[in-house]
Amino acid sequence: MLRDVSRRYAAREVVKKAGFALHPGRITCLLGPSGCGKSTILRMIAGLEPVDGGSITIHHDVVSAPGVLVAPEQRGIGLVFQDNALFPHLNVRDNVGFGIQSLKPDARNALVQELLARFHIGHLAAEWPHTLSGGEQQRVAIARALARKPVLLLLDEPFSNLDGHLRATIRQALMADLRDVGTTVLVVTHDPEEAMTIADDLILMADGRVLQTGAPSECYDNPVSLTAAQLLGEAICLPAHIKDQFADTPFGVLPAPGQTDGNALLIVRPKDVILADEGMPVTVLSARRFGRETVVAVARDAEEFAIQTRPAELAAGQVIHLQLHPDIALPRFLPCPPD
Amino acid sequence: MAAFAGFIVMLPLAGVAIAALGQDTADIAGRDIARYAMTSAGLALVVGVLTAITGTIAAWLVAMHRFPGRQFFAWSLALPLAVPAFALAYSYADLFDVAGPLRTYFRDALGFDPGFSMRSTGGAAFVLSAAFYPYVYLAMRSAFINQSVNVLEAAAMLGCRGRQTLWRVALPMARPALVAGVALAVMEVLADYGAVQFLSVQTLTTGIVRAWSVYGSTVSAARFALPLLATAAVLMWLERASRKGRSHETGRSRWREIEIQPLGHAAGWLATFYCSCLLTAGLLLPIGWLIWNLGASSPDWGRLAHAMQNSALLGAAGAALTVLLATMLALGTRRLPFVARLASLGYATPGAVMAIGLLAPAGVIWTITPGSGAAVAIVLLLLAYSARLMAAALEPIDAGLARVTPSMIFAARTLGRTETAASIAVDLPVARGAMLTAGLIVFVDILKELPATLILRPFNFDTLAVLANNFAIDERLSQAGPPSLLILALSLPTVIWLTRRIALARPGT
Repeated sequence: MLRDVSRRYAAREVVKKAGFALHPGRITCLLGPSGCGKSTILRMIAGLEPVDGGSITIHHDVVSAPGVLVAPEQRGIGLVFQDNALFPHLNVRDNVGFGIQSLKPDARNALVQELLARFHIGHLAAEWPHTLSGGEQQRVAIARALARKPVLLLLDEPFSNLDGHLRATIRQALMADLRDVGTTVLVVTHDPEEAMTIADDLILMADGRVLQTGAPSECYDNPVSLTAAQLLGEAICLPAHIKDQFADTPFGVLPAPGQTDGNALLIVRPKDVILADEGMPVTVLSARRFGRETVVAVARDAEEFAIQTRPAELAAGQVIHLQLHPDIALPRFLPCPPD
Repeated sequence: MAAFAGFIVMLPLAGVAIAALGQDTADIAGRDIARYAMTSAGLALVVGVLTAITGTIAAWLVAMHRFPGRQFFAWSLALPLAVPAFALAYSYADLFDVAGPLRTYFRDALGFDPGFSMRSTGGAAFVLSAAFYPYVYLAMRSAFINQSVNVLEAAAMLGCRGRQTLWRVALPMARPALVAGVALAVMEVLADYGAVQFLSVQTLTTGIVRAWSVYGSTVSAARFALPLLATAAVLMWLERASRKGRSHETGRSRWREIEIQPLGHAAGWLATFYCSCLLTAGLLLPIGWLIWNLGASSPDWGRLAHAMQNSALLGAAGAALTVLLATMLALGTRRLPFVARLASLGYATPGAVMAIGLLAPAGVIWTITPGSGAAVAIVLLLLAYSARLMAAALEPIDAGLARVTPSMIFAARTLGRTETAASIAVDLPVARGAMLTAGLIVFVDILKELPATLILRPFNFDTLAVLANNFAIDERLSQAGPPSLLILALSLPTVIWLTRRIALARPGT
């Protein structure tokens, strides 16, 4: 629904020809580092900001294009802000009923009750926003946005204000409730774990551009670029040379079917390497144990990276050997960036 | 809309500048302007220092220490704001008159005459300090209360104790508030007409009124007004600049209530005595004397009632207009902060200057429609009040609107409201309390306002302040008492409500 959308502030172009489509009834995550333009995209979809190039369409109607800006109140899009933006002068019931003043009081009350019940906050109907916990406020904000039965619900960094240990629980429960409602949802986040957990579809963004779209596992296993790979977690990048469907890498010769001949990069996740008696030699910088895993910082020539292995006694300065995990049937190669 | 509100404020200021360029008719020498300006400056300096010291000590005691009567003093120390400065002047001048009760008592009982007359620059400085110390007190008290306990505790850990904390930590941190409070007090000194005029101290403001009323020269009046306008701009800039640092003053991270230090027995009663003295000087003694003297007069109740009605109506209408304009300005200037800053200039501008500035446009209207005299005058008076008090109303309204985050407005828009509807549904209800506060502040200030009312009022249109001033000029002091006390009767409940609200306010509420 977004086609080549651009947005610039003064001289800086923050969104550069971004394009993607959202699929009805699915939860899509827009993942990118802070300042990559993802919040701007959200605001452009909501109609709070104009587009400088390209277009945004909803059900084939153009709502945003240069010179075209359908007002936010006429788009039928719900937006839940990072700070929830509950109205401090209205209680929970009136906050949720704010957007449906056109309904008759009976119908309005019924809908509000239904939404409060669906999001398990019926008992808070008469409470004031400032008395609620962060998670409760968020449920109110989502119920308020859904009251207008939007075609699309936008969530801006919805879980960033919640405490670490509560976060996963609240996230899981809330996304389950949202799935029940069946609305199309677009979640903006910078947390790869969050994106991997809740998304049906993933959109990877960096520096104002859309890098990759697809299922989370597909994006994780087959990143289109080093940046895309790093967005979804740590990625180790090693030099490789491809010739005749095989790659010469620090781990030895690996199959590389379909790859073009020439220099390339081998992309490996920290979990994908194991300690072995022989293989790629690296020097241990430090080793730290986290529960059942050990995170080892190693150096290979001038390059430093971290790997995760089973517990092992390792000392700084020690030289160890790494091999690719045997489960990795097809390692991922990327063409060398032209530098 | 915001531009219109800004225009209202700027109109009299531009009027002054234009009028000052005109051909002079009254023969007032530049030397006189310089002399009056020196008196104004001297008065401002002395009052500035006095209010800074007395107000800060009171705030330090009340905010951080426990002593008998602390809760009461917390709000009552601000009550002199309800008393017009001219009422203090009448009362003190009479008390300290050669034939007045205090000096008679000293001569008879002690055999010597203190020889101190209130009708001097020193006397005026005392009266105005007694009237205006609450500005410093309120600003400093809120600064002390808002300071982070963590910082005070850090100071204690580093070996700072008691008074040292005041000198080395609390006071430097509260310096922006001190500058702001003193700037307000000084602005009031420069704007005062009733008190200094009665005490026979010639300042720029009395010069303006005299040039206009005695010589009938708007041009001369405007020339007196120009230095005031310039000073007002400087003061406003000082006040604004001091406010920029305020975010340092409050620990943003976490706020905990200050530990209140209990004072020792003697020190505690000393603190009580100090606060009582301030309250006595600013309110109890002068007002008590006016009440005591009520018996000596037989007031014209009909005229008083009429004046009271005029005062109340002007106050209410002026408050409504000012709050309306200030709200428009506050909503509009989210995008144009420069206009708001310009509008604030009015607050530092004395009412007399405003009135002179409005006389020129008024003259045009009066020439076009000769029959409209009184109605136009009332409208102009309301405009002068609005222009003068816009900043006073703007500040609480701005603070109230600050509770509305941009995302709340965006949320209202995605929930189906147009830009205007979102503002009505969210901004106005959230800022409702602040608008009421602003209205009450303006109401009280209009009740006390004298010079602009004197200059712009229609013929025979008396307010309580005008009535008090007229009696006082004729040395009928016992008769000046009732209208002064009626002003107090109208403003005191409002000020009590406001100061209690301010005094009890805690960050985050």
